[in-house]
Amino acid sequence: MSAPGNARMSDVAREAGVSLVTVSRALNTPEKVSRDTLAAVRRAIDLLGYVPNLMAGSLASNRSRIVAAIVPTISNLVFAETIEALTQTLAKDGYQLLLGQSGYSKQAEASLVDTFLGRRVDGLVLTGFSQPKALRLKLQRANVPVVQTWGLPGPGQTTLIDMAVGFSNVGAGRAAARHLLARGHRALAFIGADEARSRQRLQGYRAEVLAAGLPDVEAAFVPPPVQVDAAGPCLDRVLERRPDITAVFCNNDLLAAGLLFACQRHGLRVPERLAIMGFGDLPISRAACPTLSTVRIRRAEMGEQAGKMLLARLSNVALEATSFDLGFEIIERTST
Amino acid sequence: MTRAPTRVQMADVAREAGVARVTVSRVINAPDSVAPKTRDAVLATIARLGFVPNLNAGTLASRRSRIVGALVPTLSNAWFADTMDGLSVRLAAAGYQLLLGQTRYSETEEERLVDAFIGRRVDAIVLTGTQHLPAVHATLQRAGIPVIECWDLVDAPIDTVVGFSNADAGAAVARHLAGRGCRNLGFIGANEYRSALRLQGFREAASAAGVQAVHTHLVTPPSGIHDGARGLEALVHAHPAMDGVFCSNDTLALGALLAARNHGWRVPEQIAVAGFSDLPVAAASVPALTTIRIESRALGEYAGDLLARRLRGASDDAARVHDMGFTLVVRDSA
Repeated sequence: MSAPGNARMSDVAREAGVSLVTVSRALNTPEKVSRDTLAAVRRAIDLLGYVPNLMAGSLASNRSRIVAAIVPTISNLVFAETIEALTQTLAKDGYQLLLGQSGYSKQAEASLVDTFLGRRVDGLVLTGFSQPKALRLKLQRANVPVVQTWGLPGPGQTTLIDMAVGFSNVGAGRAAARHLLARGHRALAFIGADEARSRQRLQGYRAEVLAAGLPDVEAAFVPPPVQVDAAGPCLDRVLERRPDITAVFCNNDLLAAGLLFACQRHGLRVPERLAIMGFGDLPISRAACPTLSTVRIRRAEMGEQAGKMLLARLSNVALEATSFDLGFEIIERTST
Repeated sequence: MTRAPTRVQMADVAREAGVARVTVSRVINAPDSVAPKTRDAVLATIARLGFVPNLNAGTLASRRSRIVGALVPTLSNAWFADTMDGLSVRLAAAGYQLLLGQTRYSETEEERLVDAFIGRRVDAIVLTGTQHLPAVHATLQRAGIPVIECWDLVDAPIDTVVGFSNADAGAAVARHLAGRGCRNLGFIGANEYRSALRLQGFREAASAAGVQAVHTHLVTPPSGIHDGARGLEALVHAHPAMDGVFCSNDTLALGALLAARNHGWRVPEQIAVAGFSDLPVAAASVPALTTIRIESRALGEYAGDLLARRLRGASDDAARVHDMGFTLVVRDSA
């Protein structure tokens, strides 16, 4: 490729026959520049293809206008939607998003936080609440707004680093159990990813089942990130150990869809022989046949709200609350 | 809540550790040049105070941001998310972070984001697709940084292209459907140009194989599972004799399979269904989906490695066009 390199502001000034400070004014406060001069500068900018250096501005204002977000993996569609909404909310105020993937590793998360703080990002969005104490302290000392997502600080816990937007994973697990119990199920199973949020949902699910005086939940775990084909082998394992199981709560809708396909292959009727409940309300839960009962999570609103909280903090607008509960909703369809 | 009033500075570390600032700087940038005892003392102080070195300061000196900008239409499509996943992992390993933008299938939004990224002095840019506004071509050609276009192939990329031939993939599906006896074909796809290229290849190969017509149903991107279901219903309603359909992605194909199940249309006996991209759901669905496999993550990894080499100055790779190919995966649905 032939590339002469970036045109500089001094090139524009020379081409337009004006001083550097005039070019700078034409860019930043055009109303202070005469119309003819402005036109000359714009012609030079177009001719040279000059793009103003936003990094230089960030040095002066001490703002990078970059926010960083860390998710376990964007391959998991549920996080992709949150990130997409976050990006759009930030873009409206001229902020761009640096993306980091932790691959569900706490160590990788800590190292990404170091990198992002080192880049002097203006804000950070994290997934979950399981950051080690040292990392939480470092973030608090860094004096950078932080929003934790996909959960809420639990009662009596002090894991809130700064701000949070999410829902109660334990509460969602409880609600899923209540739905299945109300449909008459007495032998319940759980299939989920082996990670913190999934375990919190199981905790609530299990608590509700035990409170009803029923046998403990049969739980099967798969390594994250969970894919649709992970459910089939789990079904075999669960039914081998507990042939009496009549309902399964899956930690996400992809697993639930995979379980539904596995039942179709095995000739198990859903919901007559086995009720299946998902989590997330992904489009597949509505399109599946039978349609999947699930727990609706407002994934896009979560990203949007996280963005709004950061932007409010960055423009020194006081927040009504540092923790925002988006709630969840049980969606009853035909699979349970 | 209470927050620390100021950030810990390098001077704070120096004072606490009882060394000069330049020693702290050396510990960070050239640890081997510092006596082990001093180095350990400084590192312990850094950890205790929670000091984070400013990576941007280095940026100014080297004119390098160590940031790569990447644009996708939307992350909500699993295949783009997989490509970004692979790209981000390989770039992170080489010390680069990913600045992410979503064009929402809009060329003007792409132009706006490219300008913003160049303005931030990203070290390289990754674009999805090879169709851009002339202004984007001009800006990128002037920028003097590596540019990778992906998810398509062209003979003359802006800089480098990593992808596959969408038209050839469409043609492979048409030959497969015609080969299993389909004579009345349909196409369900997003109304965007990569999908249009697949349709073009599909049409030409179908015609060459003696198929009379290809009925099309186009939807506004991003296309969802419901679009596939409604698309199949609309096509079957309008063309009851249709015996094979190619969906321009697996999400649409899954929707079509579920609609067929709902209506009791037997797949593949009555209607053969083929998808594109080979998402995990393709192998898991009932019936399992015949599709074109695109190694979405590997594509991102390949682009990431290519960039890392270029940015290191090791441009051993003179090739500008990298064809990653595709594979027709025949399962039960077609």
